[in-house]
Amino acid sequence: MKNNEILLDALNDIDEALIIDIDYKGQKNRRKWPYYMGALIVVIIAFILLIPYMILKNPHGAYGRLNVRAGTTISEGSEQFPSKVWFENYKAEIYREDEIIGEDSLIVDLNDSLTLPVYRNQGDVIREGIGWGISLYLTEEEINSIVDRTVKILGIKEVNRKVEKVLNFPGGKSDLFSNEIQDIVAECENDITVTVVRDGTIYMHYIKPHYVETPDAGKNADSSDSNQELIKKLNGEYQMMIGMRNSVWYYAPNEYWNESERGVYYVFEDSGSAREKVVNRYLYYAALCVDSDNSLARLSIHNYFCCSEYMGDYPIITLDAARQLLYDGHYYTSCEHYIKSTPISEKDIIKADIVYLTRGQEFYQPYYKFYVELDKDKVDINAIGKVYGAFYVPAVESEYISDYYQFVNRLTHIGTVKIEKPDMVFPDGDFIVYSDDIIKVNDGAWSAFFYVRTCTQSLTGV
Amino acid sequence: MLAEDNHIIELFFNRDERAIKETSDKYGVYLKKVAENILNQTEEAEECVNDTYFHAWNAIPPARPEKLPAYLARITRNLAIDRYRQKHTVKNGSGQVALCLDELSECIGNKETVIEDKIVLSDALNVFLRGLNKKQRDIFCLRYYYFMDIEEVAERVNASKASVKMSLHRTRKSLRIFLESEGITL
Repeated sequence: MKNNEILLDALNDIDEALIIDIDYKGQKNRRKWPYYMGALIVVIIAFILLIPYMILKNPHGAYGRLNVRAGTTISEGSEQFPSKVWFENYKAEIYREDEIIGEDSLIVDLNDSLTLPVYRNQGDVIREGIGWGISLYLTEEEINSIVDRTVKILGIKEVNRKVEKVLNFPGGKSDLFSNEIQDIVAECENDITVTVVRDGTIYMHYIKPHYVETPDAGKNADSSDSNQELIKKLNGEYQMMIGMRNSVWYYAPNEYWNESERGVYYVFEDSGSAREKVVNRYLYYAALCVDSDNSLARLSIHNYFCCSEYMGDYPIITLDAARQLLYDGHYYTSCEHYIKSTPISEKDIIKADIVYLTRGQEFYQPYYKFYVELDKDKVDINAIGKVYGAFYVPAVESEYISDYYQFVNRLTHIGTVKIEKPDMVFPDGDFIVYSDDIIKVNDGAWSAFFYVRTCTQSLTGV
Repeated sequence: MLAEDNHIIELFFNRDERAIKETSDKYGVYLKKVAENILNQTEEAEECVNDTYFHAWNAIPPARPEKLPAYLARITRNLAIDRYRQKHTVKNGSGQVALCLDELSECIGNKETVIEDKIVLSDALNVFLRGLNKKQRDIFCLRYYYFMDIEEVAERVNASKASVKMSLHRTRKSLRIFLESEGITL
């Protein structure tokens, strides 16, 4: 007998308490036709109801897979998990004053429901708690299926399809997954491309131009009429394709300072409850990036439910408690070095929000996000008015967080470090080095400061 | 109205033949499904289920199962695997068992056995499975205990097929590491 057969036999002797009870609803003499008839009636009714929806914009059906939601039954979370922040793109998250808009509405809505779900990210490559920004979750077959559907929905002709491997991307030199598929790209007519990465995110580039006269669009989505006009147009055009019915739109600044991209319009489904609103806003949404010439440069659809496991709903701390933690220095940030005053006080904060951080994070968990005024003289940025940095305080009650205070000594600024051998090299020459609990980053012209857990590193002129 | 499990067990203890009928009414479909997953053949699965009743009749008493369905499923699973082996002395690549065996090779190899102490292996499996979270454990059991195909497992745990595959892959990987740490030779 072979080892694997022995194992199969051994499974027969496992404790009965460990074996899942499976339902056994089927009875020998059950009359099945009433069920089939019932199902048929349901299908017919659903079809009739869906006809207007289907013919309006989306003759090929919605993104079926993308509508799969994890954690449909809300349960109380009990498992502890670490709280860490992986700053994507390795750049200081800084905002100009005019980019910080709106009230702390989500926090206000949440006041009567102080629990939020936490998810374990199953897609991203995480090493020692640090994300690599690479997801290796969906199979090639699944990605191709999403590409097929997307191209079909767009109604465009595909010219070429290529598979891109991690080898060509940051981290590609690692033997662990250098030959893994990173994404699949469908090159279509009129220079449109559809890219699907392995966490299920769909990127569509240069779908079609929009010639909406919006001279000040992107400045303030709440007050600008022309911006509202653009949102209305985008909503009319893409709401159905994205698969949302009660969509909520908002504008967010382009935090990565890509000058060619004027701004990003986010849209998510408002399913009613404050809890769902927060979750959808950050874990299931679409982003429409409008270029400086008013064309839709990129439309992306993000669904983090398809690559994560629901761990349960956890109680969250109040905004006041989070503020106190911020004042006491218990936060994560990528712009520590630009802080205006230490300790941070109430007058430094212009806005608070509750957010989920996603790509590269080991756990999708809620954070209070504070916009804290920075010392403008220290920031190499051309901005009128004040500038603010993002500071994150974990929102889940500390008893559920396994390493909540490990980032207390974050202010260890040790100056320039010479890097001998980078772990990840980016196409533009930036690179990253991992050590036990230190991340050292050279971020080109930005001379970035990067903060992870207990460490702060400044890397300039390496 | 289906009988309570305790009532069925009492019927077994009283040597009342209604025990078989009640068991069949309540768990017949379920046990057939367990057998079919392994044998991929309806008639043989039915024979297996009938044999299960016979074995249960002989075993209860003295056995008093804590979870009657799991107890019966275990008997069915054993009988079905025996039948499977009789038919497939060499793996012919069909059915869920062959696929499961292939998958389990990842964590324990498919060489002729070098595992001498099967009790130790069972104990280790119990410890390992207790260490998994419920969802991971359920996915593992549905696949390798009940031999359900990936699609059915996904439906039962309300997850995507990809998520189930990934969970199984990770659990197998963890199991391999765990077994090695327990000194179980692979």
